[in-house]
Formats: sequence, structure tokens, C-alpha cells
Amino acid sequence: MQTAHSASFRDPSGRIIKHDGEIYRTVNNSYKEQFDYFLKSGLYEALTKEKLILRFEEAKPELFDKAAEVYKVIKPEQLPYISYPYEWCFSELKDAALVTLKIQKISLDFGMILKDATAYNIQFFNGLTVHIDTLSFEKYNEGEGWVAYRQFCEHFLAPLLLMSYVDISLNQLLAGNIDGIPLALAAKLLPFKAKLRPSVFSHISLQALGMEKLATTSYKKSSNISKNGLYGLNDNLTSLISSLKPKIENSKWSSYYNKTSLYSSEEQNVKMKIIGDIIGELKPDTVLDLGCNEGVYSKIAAKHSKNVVSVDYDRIVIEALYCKAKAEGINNILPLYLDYTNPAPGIGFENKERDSFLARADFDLCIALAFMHHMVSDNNIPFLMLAKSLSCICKKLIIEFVPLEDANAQTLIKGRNIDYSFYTKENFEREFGKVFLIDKTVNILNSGRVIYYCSGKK
Amino acid sequence: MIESKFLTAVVGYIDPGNGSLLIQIIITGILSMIYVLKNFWKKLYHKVINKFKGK
Repeated sequence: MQTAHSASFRDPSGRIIKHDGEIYRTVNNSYKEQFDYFLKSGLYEALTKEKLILRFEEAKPELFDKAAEVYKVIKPEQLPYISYPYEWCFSELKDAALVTLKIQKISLDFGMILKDATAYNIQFFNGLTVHIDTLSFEKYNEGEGWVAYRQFCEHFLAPLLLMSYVDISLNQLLAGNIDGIPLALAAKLLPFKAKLRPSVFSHISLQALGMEKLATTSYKKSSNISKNGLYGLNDNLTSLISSLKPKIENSKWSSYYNKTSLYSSEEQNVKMKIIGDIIGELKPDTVLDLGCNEGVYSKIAAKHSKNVVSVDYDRIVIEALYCKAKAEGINNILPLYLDYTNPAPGIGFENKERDSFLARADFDLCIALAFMHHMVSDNNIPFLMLAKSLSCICKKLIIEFVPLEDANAQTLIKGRNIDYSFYTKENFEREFGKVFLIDKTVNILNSGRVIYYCSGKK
Repeated sequence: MIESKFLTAVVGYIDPGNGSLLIQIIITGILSMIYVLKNFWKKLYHKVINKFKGK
């Protein structure tokens, strides 16, 4: 069964299609010349050698009924999980921007140029930051500018500057602006000291002003921008972005394990062993660690599975986990921002261009440790609603029950005028039991906390 | 009009933004000079270093 991907309609060079659960890409006749040049020029080989772009193979022709406009069908390396820039931390977006610029530079060396520079073309795969769109390249014609310059600034530079100078959460603006953060808006939000930097002033303020004042200008053929100018532009953007650091203030959750005495070290060790044993036996392909914090359990999961997506609603811990995993060479953990009470929605045309978190979530195992009490006692989500929601995103679940008497749970309910008499282990087991089969329960010594290992009933 | 004299017709599926293109012409004009100078100094520096190292 072949279906066209709902996000694939903007670029007429080709389409993404799904066939038997795998992703393929059609290359249209209109892009034939550029595609052949991309291969012949050696650019594809150079980019794959540096692991900057996904490799592909030509698909077996008998698999597809080729439409008249289709030149070739290719099958790229398959990604285990697609994430979006509004879910990334600062350093993920920064790495994505730098990879895009590196690809642009190499493309120029080979006589080609990026015809688009959207953040959605970048993904994280096996510890690498890679470009996924094989059809993003076109021949460079001497004198022509970089068509995707504005797009690059709106998708990468503007959010990075806002995350660096104003607030680390401002890549969230990308969720409401599928074409990137408008430069006029970025110029308004950035502080004066940022705009004092000549490169910020030129790429953001001056460009925003130019777009406003010169929007109706008509084009005329002429040769104006030298190749050295494009190299210079690339060099300048690379230096600017490399110099940016995230604006970080102390978060409630960073150093959670050090500052909060939730467990004795003995209890912590028992919990780690339980989780390690279960995952070691299950050996899942994909794991979701909900409320991952510093990633203690994500790292355990990473040892026994192919891919771990670690999510938390604290951007600072996501930033720390990404940097730490990268430094330690752990290449199968993908840290992402997620507020489970308000996960990423579907955006774009018909809300289908970028899928919601729930539409993308299909994990073999979900770990939800010290998570449930935040949902139930902090956000008043009933046990059954939570259980149903979790059953939609994973096949197996490891969940921790935290009793109300627990010091951490007490902090959450302090000062609230709510009857929490429903919040008992028995009610939890009954309600979760309607959706999951509870395979195993383990008490964590005398802490009152219990680990449940469950399987989805459907 | 200054801008229509300088702007290049660009064929692409995304709108580069007319104003954005004109600003790109100005910015790349300056940055190309910086880039050329930077490369010149880099080459000169390596030449001098290599000479001192006796390569």
C-alpha cells in the first residue's frame, strides 16, 4: 500500500511516500538534471562520507507504479523517530544549524547550493545530526544569491538568538510558525545589546527592514553576488552561531538526584537493578523515558535497546542530557522537550504537515518513573485517563506508584483543597488494570514506592 | 530603482523575499572582502609558520 506523506507537497522536485511502513522518496523528471548532477559531481559521496546526509539506494522498480512525472524512486536510510525543532534543546538546534551551514559550504565547493534550509530537513540519528532531504540541492549559478538565506535565518538563527538572549523556551515559537520565526518579530523581541552585534543587526534587523520596505520590488536579471560572498556569508553565520550559548537559569529539576533526598542510595540501587533487569530481558527496539530528568534510567535503557527517546518538561535537563550523552559518546539517546499534559500538536496544512507527539509515538516500552504522581496529584488527571493515554503510545510499560505520604508527593499537593482519598495503590491497580495487564510488581524496599511492569491489553 | 538594478531573478519553490535578497547583496559584498582577507592572512600565517619550522 503506497501513501503520499502529508508533509510532502511543498517542493515539486519529488514526494515522500510510505510503502509497507517504510519511507521512500520519488524524484520527479523536473528535478532529473539536478539529481544526476548531485550524484555525478561527487557531492552526494562527499556528504555521505562525512555522515552529513542520509544514504539512499534506488528502490526496486517493480515495487512502484511509476507516475509519468517520476524519474526515480529512492529508499533512504530509515529513521527510528522524527523530532521537530520546537522539541529540541538549544544545543540540538545549534548543531542542526551548524550542520546545515557545513553542508552549504561543501555544496558550494562542488558547484551546488542548498535550495532550502528548513530545520525540518535535519534529524538526529545514531548520535549524528543529519540532513534527510536528498532533493535539497541545485546547481549553483555564478552571481546568484542564496535563495534559502531568509529561511535559514527564520528557522535557525532567529530561534537560537532568542534562546540565547531572551529565554531558552523561545523555540516554542516555531510550533506556531511553521515557516520559522518572522524576522520582524525576532527583531522586536531581541534586546538592544544583541542588536549591537553587527552580524545580528545585519541578519535580523536589517533583513527584517528590507523585507518590510522592499516587499513589492520586481526582479531583474543580473549577476551580483560572488561565490566568495556566499562563502563569507556562510563563514559569518557559522561564527555567530558557534558563539551562542543558551540562556540558562537554575531549574527546579536540574541536579534533582543530588539535591532531593527521594531515595537512599540503597533504594536507588534497587530501583536501577529492577529497571535494568526488566529492560535487559525485554530488549526492546524503542524506549520512551517519560520525565527522564538527568537520564539515569535512559542510560540503563540505552544499554539494552536500539533507540531511547528521553523526554522531560524541563528544558535545562534536556539540554544537560543532550550535551552529556554527546560527550560520553552515547549515540542512541534522543533528549526532547515534552510536557505530557500539553504534548506537541499537529501543525501545518490540515494539522498534518508535522505530526503531533501522539501520532509519532509508538514505542516498544515506556518508562514512567516518579512521573505518575505529577500527572494525577499535580494535574488532576484521573488514573484511567492516564492509563488509556499511555496505552496508546507503548506496548509495554514500567510505571512507578508514588504514595501520597511520600515527601515529594506531599510537596505537590501542599495547599490544595482537593480530596485525594481516591489516590491509593488499590485504585491505581484497579484503574490501570482495565487497560494493562500487570505482569510484575516490585516494592522498592521500605520507601512505599512500587514498580509495575505491564503489557497493553490491545 | 536601486533595488531593481541589483536584484537577480531567482527561480525556486520558496520565496527568498525581495527585500531579503537586496540585503543579502549588501551583506555578501562586505563579507566577501572579509572572507578573502581572512583567507589571505591564514595562508600567509601558515606559510610563515612552515618557513620557521623549516618545512
